[in-house]
This record gives sequence, C-alpha cells and structure tokens, in this order.
Amino acid sequence: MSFQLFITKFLAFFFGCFVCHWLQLRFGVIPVAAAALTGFAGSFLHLPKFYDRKALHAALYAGSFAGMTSSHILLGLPYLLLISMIGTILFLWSRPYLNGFGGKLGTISFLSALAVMLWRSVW
Amino acid sequence: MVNWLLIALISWLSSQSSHYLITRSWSVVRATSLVSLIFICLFYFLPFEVARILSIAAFGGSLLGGTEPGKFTFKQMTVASFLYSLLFVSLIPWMKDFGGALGFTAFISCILTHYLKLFKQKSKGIKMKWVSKDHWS
Repeated sequence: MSFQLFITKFLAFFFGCFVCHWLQLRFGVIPVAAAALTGFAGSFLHLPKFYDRKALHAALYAGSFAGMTSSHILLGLPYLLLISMIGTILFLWSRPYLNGFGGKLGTISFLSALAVMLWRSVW
Repeated sequence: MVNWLLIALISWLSSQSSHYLITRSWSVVRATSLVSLIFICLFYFLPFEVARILSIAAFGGSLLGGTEPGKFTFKQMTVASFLYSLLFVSLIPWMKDFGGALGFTAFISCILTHYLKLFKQKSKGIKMKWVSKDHWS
C-alpha cells in the first residue's frame, strides 16, 4: 500500500514537473504562467476516491513548482526524475507537519531543487 | 520604493483573493492557480517593465493566500503579505533559478506571522496577569 502511495504521488509530481518544464521550453511560457496553468488544469483531474484526489492535486502542483527550476539546473529527463523522486519523498515525509501554512508545497519544491543543485555540484 | 509598494499591494490583493476563494470552499490548488492566472493575464498586457515582476509577486501572494481558513485573521494576512513583499524584494533575486522559491518565501512569511501572533498572544497574557495582580492588590 505504501509503495502504491509513493508511486501515485511520484507520478503526479513528475507529471506536474514535466508539463510545467515542457511548457516553458516548447512554447516559451513564463515559469509562473506555466506552473499556474499546470496546477489549474491538474485540479480538474478526476480520479477515483481511492487515490486521495486532494493529495494528488497537491503533489501535481508541487511538481509544477519544481518544474519552474531553470533549465541550467534541470538538464534533462534524468534530472526531472531525480527532482521528482526527492520532491515525492519530502512531500510524503512532511504530510503530518506544518499543514495549513501557505507555501508549503513551494518549500518542498525549493528544497528538492536545492538538493538537485547540490547533487550536481558533488557528482 | 514605488516598486516595493506596488509589489506589497499586488501581493496583498492576490493573497486576499485566493484566501477568499478558499473560504468559499474552493480547493487550494484551484483557487491559488486561478488567481495567479488572472493576475498574470492582467499584467501581461501592460507595457511597463515592472509588470512582469508584479505578475511573479502575485503568484507568490496567491500561494500565501493558500493558508488554511481560520489560521490568520484579515489583519494577520495583511502582515503576512507585507512580510512576503519584503522577503520577495530581498531574497528572490538570489533564488530566481530555483523552482518553489516564491512558495518558500510565502512559507517563511507565514511562519513569521504565526510566531508574531503567538508572541503577541503571550505578551498580552503576561500583561493581563500583571494588570489583574495589580488590580487585586
């Protein structure tokens, strides 16, 4: 069950991240507009109740924030996968803490982007 | 200075509007993204250079408004927007390459406002204790 939870959140996070980044690279959309569009469109995704719809929308929106990261840091698909992996772990880990404060999802994405930056500087 | 005042005003407006939608039982994701999109569209057609910065500030402001209803009063939300605009002006130029920097800034201002609220409540409590003690003696 917990593996399934991780996979669904990871897929939502990755989807948000990929779409936001793709909108910027392919159509030259500014990062804020790309993230807002991804989040708004994603909030209409209808999934069975089993998948915890609200949390999936939140993971997708957090992913879109991560997708705002500059293409100097996110150099390709492996980095998108890495940032999504770190973001999903942080997202699931932080679920019981600091709920209800605005900007929590952005903080998760910011920390994931920072972790990817550190990864790149170390390796 | 004028730019900062504009940023403060826009972030206040966007945070209040997204917070209003959330109190009307909109989902947080939909409310914040819709408010951001409206502000981005509004500023996209303005010919000023500052308009782009204002749309970015509005996006972060809407995330600030994503705070749970009942956590902050109208005044506290105004304080949070003010803090956010200060942080936005001072921090964002250093973190512009990182996704989520706006959310991080909004989150810090939320936490600061929360602790200011707690500090105020605590100091009020001490004052009230002191007044009542004085009154009874």
